[in-house]
Amino acid sequence: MVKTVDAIVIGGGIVGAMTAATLARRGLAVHLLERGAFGGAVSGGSLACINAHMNSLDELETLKWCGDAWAGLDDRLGHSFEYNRSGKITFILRQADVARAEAWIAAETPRGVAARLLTPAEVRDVEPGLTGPIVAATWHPEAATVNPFFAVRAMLADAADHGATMASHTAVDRILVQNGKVRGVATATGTVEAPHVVIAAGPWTADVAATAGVTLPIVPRKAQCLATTAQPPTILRVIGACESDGGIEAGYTQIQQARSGQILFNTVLSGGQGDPSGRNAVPEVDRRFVFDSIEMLMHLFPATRGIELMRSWVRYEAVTPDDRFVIGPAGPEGLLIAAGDGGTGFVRSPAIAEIIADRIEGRESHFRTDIYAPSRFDALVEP
Amino acid sequence: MAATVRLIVNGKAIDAPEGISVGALLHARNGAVLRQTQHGAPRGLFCGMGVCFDCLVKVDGRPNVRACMTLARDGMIVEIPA
Ligand SMILES: Cc1cc2nc3c(=O)[nH]c(=O)nc-3n(C[C@H](O)[C@H](O)[C@H](O)COP(=O)(O)OP(=O)(O)OC[C@H]3O[C@@H](n4cnc5c(N)ncnc54)[C@H](O)[C@@H]3O)c2cc1C
Ligand code: FES
Repeated sequence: MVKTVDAIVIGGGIVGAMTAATLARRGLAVHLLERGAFGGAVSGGSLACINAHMNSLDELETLKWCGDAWAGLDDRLGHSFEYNRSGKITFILRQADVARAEAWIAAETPRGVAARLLTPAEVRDVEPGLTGPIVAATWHPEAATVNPFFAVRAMLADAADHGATMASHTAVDRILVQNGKVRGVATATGTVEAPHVVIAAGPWTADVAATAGVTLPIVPRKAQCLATTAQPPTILRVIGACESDGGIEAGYTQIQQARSGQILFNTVLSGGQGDPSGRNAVPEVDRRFVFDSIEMLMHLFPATRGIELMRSWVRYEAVTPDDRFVIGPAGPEGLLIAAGDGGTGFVRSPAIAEIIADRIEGRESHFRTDIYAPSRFDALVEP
Repeated sequence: MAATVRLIVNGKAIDAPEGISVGALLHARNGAVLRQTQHGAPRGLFCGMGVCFDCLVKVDGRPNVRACMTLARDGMIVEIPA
């Protein structure tokens, strides 16, 4: 017997899990298919900071809404994913970057995202261990972190509670299209039919879309992470960098201490654009990244000297030409894309799920959706 | 004969030949089981080469240091987690 549902979600990372939960909560029959283990790809390797500050002015209202949505999920789902409103400190190492930080704050404050500039002495009040030389820092008290694996599981459990079905270790081989309309998907174990198919396959999204004849300009980018052995509370906040240039000082670098006590260090190095096959391998982190990270950590937190590094990992994030998500319809009727995270898909996932659900239900979305339209790249990908 | 260093292991003074790792020292003295996990499972030197992190002890107040990768030094204070 062929299974028939209202909507199929491809990919069991945070975007797919959140989308399935949102659709199921709205009363749709949903089936989610994941090729590997739920949360086992990019989402499980994430630092999962929920942050609106210094991220994207075009998306500021959406990001702020997402911050509230995560707090609401934490309440509603019984504090099941280590939601921790730790706040975020963005350290500044060069005088020239103070003006940049001030410009962000000036643009964000009237729109309701609270951040302010701190002197090094004030930084020590919120983060006593950050005693290394810095010029200044911004402080965004509303930023939070979640445990990425637990968050994916919590959303899947919520989806199941609302009637969704799901299968891990079940890859979608291709999307079935008939008369210009999506009909369902084919897997090794059979066919599932639905009038709506959402591709939330992270850095593999372009491959899955290609089976429906859709070309998407999504490329993988290498993100790397180090973890130390468990330590007593040493770093209380999320620590980010603000420098505009590449390298370890660039805006991407993020340091935080997990509930387990491990200190995590994450960055994307310049030139981190991975070769397309990279996302399928389990490559090692770059040697330079290890040295630079340790140096930066000890520069900021001198007390971390002597702590043992325990493990490292690499994930390939999905990046679009303008570094913004692709959310919305593409190609055959009924096909929807939700991918292209640019390295900050965790925070955005509640809004992505709402936009997709609004689209499937034919409702006007209260989010700004034009900036995510897959069609913005049509000129790029068409021969 | 090699020189001797004196460590404090769980509050007791222990003499060891210079150049031995804390892991090897504890293995020789205490046998294979070095510590217990939170859930009571035995752990000791497993890989002996810094990879598995099964041999974690506290050294001079610093938690979760690999015993197998740490040279015994004179005056070093080692605590084996309970
Ligand atoms: C080190 C690191 C730190 C990060 N820090 C943050 C942060 O602080 N804040 C933040 O907001 N974001 C952060 N991110 C980014 C964030 O983690 C990602 O944007 C997000 O996890 C992407 O989720 P996803 O569901 O799109 O992708 P994934 O988690 O990769 O999920 C896609 C899933 O699709 C599956 N799939 C692929 N092909 C198929 C197929 N044919 N059939 C079935 N399933 C398929 C894959 O197996 C995978 O599980 C970080 C990322 C990394 C790597
Ligand atoms: S025994 Fe494996 S790390 Fe020490």
